[in-house]
Amino acid sequence: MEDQDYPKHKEVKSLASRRFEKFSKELSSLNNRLGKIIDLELDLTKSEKIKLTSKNQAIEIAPEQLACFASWSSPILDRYQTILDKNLDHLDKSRKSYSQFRKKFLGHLKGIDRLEKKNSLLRRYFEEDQVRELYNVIHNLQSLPSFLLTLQVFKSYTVCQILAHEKGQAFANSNFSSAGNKSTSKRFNVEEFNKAFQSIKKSKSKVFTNQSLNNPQVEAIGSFLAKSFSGSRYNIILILGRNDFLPPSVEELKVFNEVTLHLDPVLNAILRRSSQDDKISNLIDVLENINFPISIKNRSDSFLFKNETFETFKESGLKDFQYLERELFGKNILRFYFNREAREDTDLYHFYRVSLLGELLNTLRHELSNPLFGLSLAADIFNNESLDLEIQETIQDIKTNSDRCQTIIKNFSNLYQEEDNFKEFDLINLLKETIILTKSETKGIRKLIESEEDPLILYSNPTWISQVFFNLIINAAQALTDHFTPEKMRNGLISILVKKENGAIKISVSDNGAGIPDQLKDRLFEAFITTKDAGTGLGLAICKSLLKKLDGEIYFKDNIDAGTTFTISLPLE
Amino acid sequence: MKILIVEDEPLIARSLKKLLEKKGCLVVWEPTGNKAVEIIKKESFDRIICDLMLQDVSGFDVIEDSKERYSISEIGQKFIIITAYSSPQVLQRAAKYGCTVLSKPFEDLNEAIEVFIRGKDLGTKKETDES
Repeated sequence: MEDQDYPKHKEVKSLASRRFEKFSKELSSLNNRLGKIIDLELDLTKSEKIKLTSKNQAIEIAPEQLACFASWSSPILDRYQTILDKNLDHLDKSRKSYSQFRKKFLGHLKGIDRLEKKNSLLRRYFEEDQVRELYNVIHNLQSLPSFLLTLQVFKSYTVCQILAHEKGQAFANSNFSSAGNKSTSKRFNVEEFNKAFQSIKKSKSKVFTNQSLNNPQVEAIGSFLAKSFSGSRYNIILILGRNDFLPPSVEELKVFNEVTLHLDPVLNAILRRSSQDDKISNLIDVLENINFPISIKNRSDSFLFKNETFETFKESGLKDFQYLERELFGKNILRFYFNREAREDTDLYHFYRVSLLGELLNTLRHELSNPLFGLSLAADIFNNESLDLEIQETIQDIKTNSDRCQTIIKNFSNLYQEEDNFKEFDLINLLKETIILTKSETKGIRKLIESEEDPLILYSNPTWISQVFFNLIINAAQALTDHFTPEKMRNGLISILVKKENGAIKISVSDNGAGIPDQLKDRLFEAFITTKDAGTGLGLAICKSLLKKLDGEIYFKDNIDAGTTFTISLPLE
Repeated sequence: MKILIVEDEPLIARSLKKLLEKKGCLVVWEPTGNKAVEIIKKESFDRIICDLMLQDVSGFDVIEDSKERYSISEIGQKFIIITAYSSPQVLQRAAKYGCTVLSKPFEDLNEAIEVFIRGKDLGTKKETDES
């Protein structure tokens, strides 16, 4: 390829000498620091060699490697300088470190050379700003065909199509542009893509016709040029044509081959940007739809992003919110707001727990009620047959006990069956049933129920109330077992007092146990606050959220002598 | 009157067997569903009292396999389902076969025995009474 055919080449040469000038300046500034260790010999015009000399060692850079200086940009020079800087200290120490340095230095040069050769080739055919556009502006394959058609080097073509398949997807995409018309995109089956891709890849010629590449997805008519690119994530086909039957000239084919040979990094860069764009837009989608206010601010405190929820609250409405902050890329700050209430709202755990308990009780009910029924039936029959009074009584006991078990099971599964079930019920009976439920946890602890009225009929939600008491009694029992040794446990007492006061029913659960540590008192009803080693810290938070639903209240105070009293207050009406 | 009891809880089965025999019925007891199906295919019964939660298969499977021998209307007449787990789904499915369902434990033992002997008539009457 002669220089006069490509005026760009001359420019490249002058650019090269300008860059080299800059480079030699950089090196002479380095030279000052290198002092007596290394002598630098720079002579582009005569020997076209760079020579780095130290005592009796020298690195020479071959003339063909000089081509790369043409397109050295200052970041590359910087990189160079860093490498030199890093290795300077080691240079004079030994021969070995010197040869290591030499190897590194040359390897680095080669790498830059490879990369820059591609770029300079692109620059040979494209304008500088077109290269910039290819590498920096175009963000997806959709706009690439129309861009390629605007290039001087492809001016003789009228249609351009890029077919791309992301590996693993069932569909491929086609982006088509014909000069003067709007670009079109479509999706099609991957099988058709693979067929076209394989025939283009296998073919030695780059020239095809609709007959030779019989594929309905190809939109060029007549004779056209095609090339396949195989990347790690994508397979791509590039098609250029004129919608006529004249085959391309030898020169055109040569240019096409040279240019497409170097399009790989361009396509990769575009695809990388496009997938980054997808990631970013997905991320924004996610952030937009999160039900908590989220904002991103930069260091100077102006907003880069606010999600919808943030917008509905406005910044002023978020004053009382708690938030978490995280630094993004060391400069922007993402803030995630949640309010205090959100942490107390443990409905999720509550429902989970209740539904689990309900399921468990249902299984238990079925598994136990069948054999219990058998016991009861059999006892009935024997009772009628036996004449011995003592045996009759024993059998009667068997029947009574199995019936009682049956009733307990039935009551418990009823207790946890219906969630939103408000009805009239006897509070005292409910408390007694709940105490039976906690039997294993309160073993050996005295329990006392005192009430002005028995029965006490209340209209409320028995399931929820039972759950609250379940939690309070378990907590009280825990406080007692923490406080008393097993031998002294008979001194432990859980007393439940029920009374009517100011139009409300107040039920208090007292223990004479260890009491609540001062530092926990303020946050006791918050979720995940616990005094127990194996506690979830959800019990009291659930109690509080249940009482909120019941229009009631829950509070606690230290007892004068020992322990704690929790009181819940429920509206009478 | 010949009755088959398919029930895996021995105390319930033995008690029912005894009570029904007192009423003059001939009673066969089988605890597993698969063997019950074999018996149903070989022998003829006036009534089949069938638990739903058996160890091997469900009572509905027993009914389904009995279709080889009995028509749908015969199944509705002959089968009485006893279950400790009478969910709406169970009742719905039983209604599809036209079978009577008695929940365990029986509220009234004598009434249950009556249903077993007299069949559907009393059963449906009992259900309407309850609703």
